[in-house]
Amino acid sequence: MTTGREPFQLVGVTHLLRPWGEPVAGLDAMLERVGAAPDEVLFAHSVCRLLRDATLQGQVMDDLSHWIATALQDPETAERLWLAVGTAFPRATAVREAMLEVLGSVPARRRGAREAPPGAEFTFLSAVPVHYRSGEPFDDPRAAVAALLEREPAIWFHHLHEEPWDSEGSSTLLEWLRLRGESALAERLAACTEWGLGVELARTRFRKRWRLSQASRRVVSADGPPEQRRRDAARGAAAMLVRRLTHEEDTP
Amino acid sequence: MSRVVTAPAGPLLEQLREVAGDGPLRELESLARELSGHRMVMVNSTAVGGGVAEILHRLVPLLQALGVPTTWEVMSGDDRFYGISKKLHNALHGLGSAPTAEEHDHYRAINRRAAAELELDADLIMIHDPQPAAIVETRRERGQHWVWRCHIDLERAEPGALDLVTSRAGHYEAAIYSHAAFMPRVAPGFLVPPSIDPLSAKNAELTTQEIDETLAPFGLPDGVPWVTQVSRFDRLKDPIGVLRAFRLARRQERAHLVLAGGTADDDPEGATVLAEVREAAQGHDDVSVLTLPPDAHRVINALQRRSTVLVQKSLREGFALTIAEGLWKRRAVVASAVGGIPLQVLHERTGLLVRSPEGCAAQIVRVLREPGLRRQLGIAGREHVRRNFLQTREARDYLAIFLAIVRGLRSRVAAA
Repeated sequence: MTTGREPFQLVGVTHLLRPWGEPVAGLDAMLERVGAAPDEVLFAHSVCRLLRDATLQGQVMDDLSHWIATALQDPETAERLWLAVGTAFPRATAVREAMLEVLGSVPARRRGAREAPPGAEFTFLSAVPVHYRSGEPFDDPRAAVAALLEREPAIWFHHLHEEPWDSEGSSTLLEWLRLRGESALAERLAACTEWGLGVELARTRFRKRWRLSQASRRVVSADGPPEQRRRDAARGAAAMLVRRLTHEEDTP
Repeated sequence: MSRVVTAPAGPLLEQLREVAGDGPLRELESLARELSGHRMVMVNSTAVGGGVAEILHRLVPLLQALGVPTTWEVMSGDDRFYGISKKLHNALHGLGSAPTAEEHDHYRAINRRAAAELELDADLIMIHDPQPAAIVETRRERGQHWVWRCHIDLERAEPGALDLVTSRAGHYEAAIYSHAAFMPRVAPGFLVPPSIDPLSAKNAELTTQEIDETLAPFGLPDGVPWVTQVSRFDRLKDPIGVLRAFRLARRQERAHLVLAGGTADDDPEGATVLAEVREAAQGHDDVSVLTLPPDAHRVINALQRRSTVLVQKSLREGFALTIAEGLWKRRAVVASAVGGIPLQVLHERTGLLVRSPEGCAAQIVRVLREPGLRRQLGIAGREHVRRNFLQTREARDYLAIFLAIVRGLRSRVAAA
């Protein structure tokens, strides 16, 4: 729990994986295992993919949907599950309910009809987090956010995806930003997690929007100095906006 | 017994940063800082030859460059010990019988001698594979953390041999396996998939001229796209299935098939399968079957880079590092959805997954006809490998495992 007065330490995470339970070959067994799986297993297969496939374009498909689409060759169930899991972020209870609802709604005969070929069974994995400190603590909220955008994506993932999953939606970083008077920035960061994008892609989009807002701030803060300097600053900011809008690509 | 002196790290971190990116290196540096004050020793049974020695030759300098003092000790034994080790190794692969009780006694005696002689002057100790696995019984000291790294596929292990190995798993704080299928139920542990070295001869960048010069002796045709499977000649790699898929694809598109690989020494079926493949390919000018020596890394590199489509139509698979190699080279990959392949090939994103020769043929045709798709898969595939299957990730996992253990985590968990 942060008071907001102390500097903020950015934390990164790496996940150690270990198998959980027996591999499954069909939807019936998958339905049963999803009901019994600990939260960290659901986390490994739904949220972790955002870090693992951080740069893939578009919404990242969770592991279960990917397996159903490819090994079971059941694209309809895969698409329904993908959407349901994506909509349920970022709570374990919601993800489990979404999975159970979609898998349970597949007619029993169809659930039992398809089996993955030998060697293509689905192995559930449990993700054990190992956290580490990244660099020195920050006193300036904007410097902390700049580092969040610049350093390894595992830091973004920890503060914006893993912490909310573990703590009913809250994040120490967002809390600290709010206490430091940067509520709007915190809300904008929180909104990024709803995009369902790989971490790197989400960061790129946020970085672009943040830079634009920084440029706008500069225009506003230039109000007050002598007219000529104010005009120069406004021209500079506008030129920068145009450059970024015309040259930047939506890729990391 | 000896301490292996590895090549000096030199600018290794900067070279890796250039190819792997800044993020993975920052992660490694942060994890290494958390392990400040700890020392690591790697132990195996050979300094040259074999995959483990290859891994350690690149891993140890990397850990040193990161500031984690790391040394590498190699145990030695007599001829009888090596014979027993080979027998155990084969039995763990499901071939032949486990060592007898008397042989096991000798194995333990050599391990006791190694325990007395090796410089295990560190608190973090990683034992690689079964040969030195019994050292822990007599040498483990207070404050030390021992981890067993198993590089072998134990899925078909002879029960007696598996028992010899897993019976001492309790002496370790964690076991590490390459794939979930390799992990015995009686000794669970962490999964650390294998990785590729982007700076090695097999994966380093090659110019077009270097590729042409490397492949010139093989007389492969110019002016036609190559569809290539690089794999040893093994039924589980389904080379006959690849031939069948290629014949179907050839009805629609012009291409040349290259089946390249060696026959593993420990695979008695290899020569038979190779003969079958040669027979099936006979009379077809658009198929080349290449047998390569085990050290043909540069040739494989050039072949993969020169090919338009890389195929891995395995019926069963462990991890299939050839996929990561191909994706790293921005190649379009068509592969079966078995074993560790779907971890690497994300369907329609980093490659294309198939389940039949017909599906394989259809996807080969599609890739041959769509340069845009090839480019898109190639870019995403390289990025996927950069994040998940380079040696930086493997080093990161080892550091994280030791960090977790130092912080009090144990890997042994009851199977659900």
